[in-house]
Amino acid sequence: MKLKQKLKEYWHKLGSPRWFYQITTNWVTFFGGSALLLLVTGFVWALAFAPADYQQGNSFRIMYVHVPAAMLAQSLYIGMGVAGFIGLVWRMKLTDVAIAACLPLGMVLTALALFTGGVWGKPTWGSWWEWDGRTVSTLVLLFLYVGIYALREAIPDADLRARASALVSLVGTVNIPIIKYSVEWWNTLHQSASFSLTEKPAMPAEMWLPLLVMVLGFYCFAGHHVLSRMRLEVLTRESSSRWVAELMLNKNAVDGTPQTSTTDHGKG
Amino acid sequence: MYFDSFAEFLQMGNHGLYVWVAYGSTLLVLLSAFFITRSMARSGEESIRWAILSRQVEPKNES
Amino acid sequence: MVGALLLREWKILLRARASIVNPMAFLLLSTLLFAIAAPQLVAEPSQQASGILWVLVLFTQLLSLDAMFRRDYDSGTLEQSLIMADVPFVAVLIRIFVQWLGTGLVIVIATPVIGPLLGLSWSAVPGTMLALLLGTPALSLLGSIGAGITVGFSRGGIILALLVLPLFLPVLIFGTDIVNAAGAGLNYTAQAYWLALITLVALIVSPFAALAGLRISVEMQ
Repeated sequence: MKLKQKLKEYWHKLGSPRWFYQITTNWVTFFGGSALLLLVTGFVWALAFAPADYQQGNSFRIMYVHVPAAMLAQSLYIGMGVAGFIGLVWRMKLTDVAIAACLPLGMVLTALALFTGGVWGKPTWGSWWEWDGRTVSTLVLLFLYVGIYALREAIPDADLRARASALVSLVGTVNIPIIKYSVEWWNTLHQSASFSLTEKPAMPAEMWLPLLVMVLGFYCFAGHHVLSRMRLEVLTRESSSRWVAELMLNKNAVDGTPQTSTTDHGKG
Repeated sequence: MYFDSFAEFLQMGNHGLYVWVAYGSTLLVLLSAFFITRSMARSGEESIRWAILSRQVEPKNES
Repeated sequence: MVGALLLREWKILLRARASIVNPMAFLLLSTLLFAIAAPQLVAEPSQQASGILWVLVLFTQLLSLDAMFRRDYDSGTLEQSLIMADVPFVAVLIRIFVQWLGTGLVIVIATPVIGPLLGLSWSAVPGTMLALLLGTPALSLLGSIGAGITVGFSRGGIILALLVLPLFLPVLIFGTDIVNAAGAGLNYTAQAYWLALITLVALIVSPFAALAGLRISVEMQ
């Protein structure tokens, strides 16, 4: 009973912009710091320390940027679907900012995954482009992103744009498993997924550990990215309220503080 | 360190161009995403601050 | 109530004969274009026929989607005829069903003519008809989501295609696979079940989503 009440309280607070802004102050710093640390470690580890594949040689290292980009691109789309669901059901307007932040990042990462896949494929399998299952799935994902992007561009009204893109991303997310399965049916000859969180990877630890670091780094980067955009949107929407006024005027000049997120802690 | 020399590191066993292009493009994407968001945040906060300042005409708030 | 609604929609469809004639004309015309552009492809029975046929069906469906809610939207009656209907879900579902009667079902019936024209072997025609019968409802259903959301746009055609074609992909994959298997004399029960399952999922999801899209479109007006 008490837990239920607590949860309910939490849920209501989540709708409060001020509370959201305050609680995410530390999160955004955490994600940003972790992303920097993990990505620097990951880049150096993957490029200079991880062993080369005995068959593919050093082109294998491209996997360390290709796989995280593809994973995050797909997760961001699903994230958009979840945000869309929350936005539609509970009429939470903040979720549209999450969609607006996930959309360009996810779109660019999908394109990046396709590009690095081609750059990896050329020296390894002798061709820039293979019409295999995962290439097709990723290309379809790109078009799912492009569709929402085009839709958003076409609707001038912010509220309707939010609802339309929430609906479309939700429908797309429901369809992703069907699309993935049918594409796998279409071509069962592609390489099996080299890394997943549920299965034990077949790679030796010295190869998949840097991959894990990279994947975590990419996800922290996305967390930082999306949260920063949401926080800015909260400030913009609430700019006429007192707490924003106090926060913005008491803060040091932005250009004088390199780490903006640490200085705006819980004012007002 | 997997490589014996820096030249070998750059060359990546004849796959250097591919590896560096892939890593370069990834870095470009991540850095541009970061800097675009940061400049958005800064200009956004700046315009909010101006809006607040222009609303409050009291001189003590103009510092 | 459902019967009366169905009858009304059916009468509207028949009155606007263009909604049946135009998709068929388009399909036949693109068949002609294919025969002219790639005569070697359609000269004799080949595996490519399945792909060509299905892509043409997809495009035909896509082009006829815009008309699904257009008349009501332009005349301003969309709200009372669909959104404020007694059971909006059923009203939208009937609208989708009638649209399918005018395109999907007509395509299925026309398959024995168009299929061989595109180089489909006669032995593959029954399988092709089954594939189209199972697959085209999913195209109408999934398409209704895009149609509902873009009906308010003055130039929504390309956006509709971008939104809807990726969702059509599973239907295309299993549909062509059935045609190929039928042409090769293989068993295609598994693919047919999958196609039926996709249509079933589309049946459950689409009317709700289309309705939500229509609500957005009405507010855009």
